[in-house]
Amino acid sequence: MRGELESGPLLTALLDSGVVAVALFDADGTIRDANERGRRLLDLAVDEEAGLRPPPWQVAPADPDLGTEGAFPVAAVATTGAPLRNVRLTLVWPEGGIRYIAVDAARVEDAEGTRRVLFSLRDATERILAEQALRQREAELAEAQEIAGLGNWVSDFTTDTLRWSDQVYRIFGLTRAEWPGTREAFMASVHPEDHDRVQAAVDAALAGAAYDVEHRILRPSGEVRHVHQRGRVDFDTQGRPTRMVGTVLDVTEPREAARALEQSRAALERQNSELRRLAEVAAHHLQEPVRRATVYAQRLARDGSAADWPHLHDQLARMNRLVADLQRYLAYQTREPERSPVALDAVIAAARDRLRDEGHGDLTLTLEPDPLPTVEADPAQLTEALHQLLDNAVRYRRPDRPLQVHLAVRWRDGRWELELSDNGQGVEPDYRDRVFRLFERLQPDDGGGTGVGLALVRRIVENHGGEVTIAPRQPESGTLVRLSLPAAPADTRRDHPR
Amino acid sequence: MKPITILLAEDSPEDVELIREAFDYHRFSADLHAVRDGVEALAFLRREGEYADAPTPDLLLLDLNMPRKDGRETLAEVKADPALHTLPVVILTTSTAESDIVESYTRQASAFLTKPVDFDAFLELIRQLGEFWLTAVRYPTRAG
Repeated sequence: MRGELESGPLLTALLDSGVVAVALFDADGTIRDANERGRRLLDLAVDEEAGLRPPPWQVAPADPDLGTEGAFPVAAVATTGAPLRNVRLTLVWPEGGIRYIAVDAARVEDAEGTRRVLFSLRDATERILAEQALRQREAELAEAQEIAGLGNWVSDFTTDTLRWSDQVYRIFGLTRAEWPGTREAFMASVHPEDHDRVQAAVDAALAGAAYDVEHRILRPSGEVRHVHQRGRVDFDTQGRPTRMVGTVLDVTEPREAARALEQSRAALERQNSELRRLAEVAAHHLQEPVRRATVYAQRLARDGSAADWPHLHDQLARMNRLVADLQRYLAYQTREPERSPVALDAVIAAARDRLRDEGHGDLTLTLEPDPLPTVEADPAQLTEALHQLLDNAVRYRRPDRPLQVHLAVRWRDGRWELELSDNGQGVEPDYRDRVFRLFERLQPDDGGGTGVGLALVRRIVENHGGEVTIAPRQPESGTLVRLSLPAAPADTRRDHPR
Repeated sequence: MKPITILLAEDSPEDVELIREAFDYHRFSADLHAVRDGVEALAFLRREGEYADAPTPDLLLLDLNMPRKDGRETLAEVKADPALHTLPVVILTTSTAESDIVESYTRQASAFLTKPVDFDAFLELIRQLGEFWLTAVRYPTRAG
């Protein structure tokens, strides 16, 4: 049963009213008829004799970005009879005009059974231009984020989802496909050591504080990056958190630059304090043997006592050693290491040969692994450091057992670690830092060390950007010195090629 | 009168010998004991280990640069120890550094003496030191 609306007169009124725009197409694609509003929308002129004139426009090719098709879908609807909704088309006038329209299409049949397609038409220009502008803004924002390195995210608590901008994916080294977009998945990317701190910052933000946290993340490749996150939580009228929004900035480069700056500042401070100490040394350590030698010389001149000759000689010899060691130390004070690939086997052999030439060859040396790997370092400086450490091992050996020295080398956390251990006297925990100071000795004036050796080792290791420590003495286990040398400075690879 | 007991903390055996010689030269009657660094000095003062039977010094002559524990640290520990802090401490060093002088007095050293290079001057310094600290000065009464 047909309703009143669908009776002839009302339909005619509807078509004439200008509320809807319709056009009727023949199955071959020619426009057969259109109501007044349809004619205006499609810019169709009516010729008194010939009826509708052909349209002055052409349908532009399909554009996936705009979601437009390349032609009125006449054939498809005429053949299948299935109606289509919201098909977008671009009409292009030869003189340059453009109009976007959206159409619905349905098949109709007249009394003779001729199939035609009826279109309902709407002007979609404003909407498509708005969509286009929005897409452009989004693209510009993404571009700006990429340039600034700043990503943004929205965590929706009502749906328990986390949405990232493209830049966040870039920072985390992830793709949309491999990341599920949950808070748990984000936490899994946070560096394990920073996990608690990030959780605490989130908890504080949920309690109303501003979210502001700097932490490390782990990319799937294993690379560590530093990020700075800022954000805030929005609450509903009952005070329940509804969502959290924020930004992520990759601050790896500035952090590393700051660290490098801090390192060089610390190195400068150390050099300064060592220079001050050197100045004091001129007053103390060099003066002492000079003063004593002067006293013995004066007594010799006065009394001619033969007993003073060896004293005088000892003091001059000590003076000689001090000056030589000081000179050796100063030579490394400011010297940049000349790095090249160095076979550690060759270096330790050279250090040992030198020790043998000095008459201290009697020690057993074991290597791990054997042969030792090749590292990036200054061969001469590294030889000097290892020679000094072997010399110390010999000097502070235990008289009651044969000296054994073990050198273990391993790659750990992006650094070469050289561990030299012996079965000598060892260093008590209280003196672990002091021994590296210039002219610091742990034993009274024994005619041996001048207190330069370990300071020199530290100087050389620090020249290479590394660190040196002495492990606490285990009972009976002697000394363990650990040198940690970074790979070449610009090298941030995690796994060093062998 | 009981002779004054002096503890000399000095790592150089040569300097210990020279100071003993100077004391003999001036015929000072002092009970002079020598240790080689700050660790031994504090053990002596506290009668620890091998120093269980050590006498109680009236005066500490302290060198600044010594192995293990230097004179600066030793001075600080002596002055921080309620059992030792009345002990007069005289710094006897090669140093002429202003920072050492200031630091020593800040840490309540009784005097700062620099060892002269000249042997006669050295003898003269020990004479003055002896006359002042062995005869002129009154000490607090100390146990032991």
